[in-house]
Amino acid sequence: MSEDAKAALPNEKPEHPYLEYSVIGSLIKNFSTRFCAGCGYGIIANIFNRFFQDEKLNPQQYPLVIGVGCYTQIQVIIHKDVQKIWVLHGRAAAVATGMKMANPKLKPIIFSGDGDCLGIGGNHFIHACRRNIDCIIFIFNNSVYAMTGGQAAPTTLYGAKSSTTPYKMFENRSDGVKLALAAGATYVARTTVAHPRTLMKYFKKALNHRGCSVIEIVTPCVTYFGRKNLNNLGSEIGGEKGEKMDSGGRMIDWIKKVTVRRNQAKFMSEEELFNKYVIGEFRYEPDKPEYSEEYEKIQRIAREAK
Amino acid sequence: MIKIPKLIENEEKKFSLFLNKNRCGGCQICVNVCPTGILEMSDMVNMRIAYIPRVKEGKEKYCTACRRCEFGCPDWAIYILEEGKSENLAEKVKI
Amino acid sequence: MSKVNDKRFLPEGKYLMMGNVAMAEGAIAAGLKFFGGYPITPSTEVIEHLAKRMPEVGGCCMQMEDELASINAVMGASLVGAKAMTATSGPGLALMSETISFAANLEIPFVFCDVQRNGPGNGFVTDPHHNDIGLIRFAGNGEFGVIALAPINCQELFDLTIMAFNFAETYRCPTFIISDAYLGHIHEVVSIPKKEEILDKVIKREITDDCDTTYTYTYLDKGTNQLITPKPFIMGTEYCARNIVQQPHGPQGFPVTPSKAIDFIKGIIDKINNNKDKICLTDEYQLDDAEIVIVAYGLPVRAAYRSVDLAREEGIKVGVFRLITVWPFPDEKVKNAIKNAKAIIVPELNYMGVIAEQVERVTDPGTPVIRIPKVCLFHHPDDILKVIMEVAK
Repeated sequence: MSEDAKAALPNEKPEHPYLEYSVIGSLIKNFSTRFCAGCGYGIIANIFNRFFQDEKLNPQQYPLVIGVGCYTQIQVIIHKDVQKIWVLHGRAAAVATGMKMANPKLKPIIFSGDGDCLGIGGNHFIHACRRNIDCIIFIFNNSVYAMTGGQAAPTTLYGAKSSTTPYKMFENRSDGVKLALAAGATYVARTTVAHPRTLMKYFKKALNHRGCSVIEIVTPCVTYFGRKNLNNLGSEIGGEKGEKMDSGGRMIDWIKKVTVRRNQAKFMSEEELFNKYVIGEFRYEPDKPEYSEEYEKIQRIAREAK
Repeated sequence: MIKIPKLIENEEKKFSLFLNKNRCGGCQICVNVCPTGILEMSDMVNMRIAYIPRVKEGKEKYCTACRRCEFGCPDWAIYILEEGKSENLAEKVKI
Repeated sequence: MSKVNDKRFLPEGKYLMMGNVAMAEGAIAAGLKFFGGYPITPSTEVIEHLAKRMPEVGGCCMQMEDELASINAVMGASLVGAKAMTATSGPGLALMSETISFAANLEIPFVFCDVQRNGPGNGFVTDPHHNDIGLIRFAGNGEFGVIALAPINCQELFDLTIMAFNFAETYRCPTFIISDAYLGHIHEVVSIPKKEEILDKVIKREITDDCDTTYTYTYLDKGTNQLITPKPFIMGTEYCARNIVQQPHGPQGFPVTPSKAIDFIKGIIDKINNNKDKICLTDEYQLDDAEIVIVAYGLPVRAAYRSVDLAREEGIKVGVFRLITVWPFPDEKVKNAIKNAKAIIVPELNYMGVIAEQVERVTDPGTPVIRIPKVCLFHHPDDILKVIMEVAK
């Protein structure tokens, strides 16, 4: 290896390329995220920062509306120029609607969790999708209320143990994607943290899509979901032996095991799809009218009317 | 500026794999995610009292710089720096 | 500032307007840009009127899916630099109280018109009952200051709405307009002033060059030891707070240590209580030689005026002291209004006498305070007159 090639190689002490763009990275070079080891939010922040920096998104055009949950602490490691706001639990979609209609140039990005978006904020989520407001709604599906100690969420898998379902989760789980499809969102996709490149693809597509785009991201929650549950969730009927998912790596393996691509899911029966996440793009209709554009037409009619 | 150990230095493809020892949380995602399985958990403990990964004996050359460990790491501890290549991944992503 | 199109201001002149419509026109004159609302008797006419008028003005009127969504949409709009408002009734106010405390923490300016209706639960939906005053004072979890104005006729509904928007812009706190089912539905003559008169009264929402992001929230100026409330920050521009977090924070928005949390709470409360002289508007009627003083706000004031005329004919010296700003309670002004009064009468359109308690707190024990509670009905001047006659003996 020639001398100048070695000199060109980054030297012994380079930092993570996107560290200085994060809030805490720009203040203190070395940091440890506030998330538990193995949690998926660090991965999501990493990908969001890469995109925000590479696409050179104008921070004034993409306000970040963050709901309440473990991911609220993502504001420490998110991109430093992003204008972010913490909103009330579940009300992110409504605040984003107000932002969009007051200033149609904006395109709010919403971080909300499965409890935040499908539990308490379900009504606002449904109507934001119905109206096709130009925003990106991320649903971080870690199937527990992690910040408050691992309670069961609307998307907790059947048979899972959590602090409010000590015996077994018996309720039917709600599916963010089906809800978004029924409500009328014009770009709906689901991916998982174990597939980061598809997450980038969907995020880029949502950025260029005018309309309500819903991206559900399945993320592992090691402390409250992984440690309490075996990785044969739902398939213990088939007598499959499972062991505890007590580390990030095992949870990522479990996620890969339970995710099914959309095209593959077409050939699978209902039992096989039990407790499985179907990932892929479910709907992409770019030419559906967007709410603020329609409202501008009405404003023109109103202004011309005598 | 602390000294960050360089796990792999690949001369032909001119990239090197770095691990920020003290930022690692010991979650083993990189170990499970690596397609060629060249990482394993070592018995060294870092400032966060977590076991940190290391490259298996003699497996350095199998690393293909696919960056799965880099994307999968929640603490941004493990990452690949390629000489000369711009980090701009957004263009590579095709819609 | 975009060209002020002429549809924002009605041509100058007298109009016959419903109360709710007058309030909506006042909001538009004040520069309303976003209205989020949900239909609820008796405040539905506000959203109906604005749905027609807002597109003309280049604003946006949205009927949201529930009250929570409408108040949160108002938050989003106000954060992004649009003057925003919502109008609802008692049950809506109860639903929206969590967001009102969210707004008080982040000092988001907005106006809230509460067209009150009868009593707990649904009650008589079309009967006035000033039962929300207790909730308006502490509208939401946590301690924070609010401003509440009480108009008594449609003309004041127009003027006080413009005043409410100015208070909201300067003090960046939840500002309430207390109307009720009757006041919202009566039709009265409203005289709309010229465009220029309104324009120089209205405080615009803009970024002046002295706005910088080192001070985006209320802070205590070390030099003058005064609480200064900077202009509201606007997301989507450079003048945006560096950190927008609903925790006790410093002037830039970064959370403070728990030991300094009390300074934050003092800030959002005292920024209003220190300016009581500018905020507390009151009115008097034949008070200078009055031995009996009637303290009232809202609709009972109109009956009180009539009863004072009748009593004066009987030779009894009575006067009315009217609270335009119901909250913060103007202690000094009420004190020196009743200092030489032998008796105080408080006709209030509720039973618990929320403001009557405040008046009792301010009067010295010697002078009696007589309450005239009424629910769903109105004080007839003769009711007040009867009480005046007894007291005069």
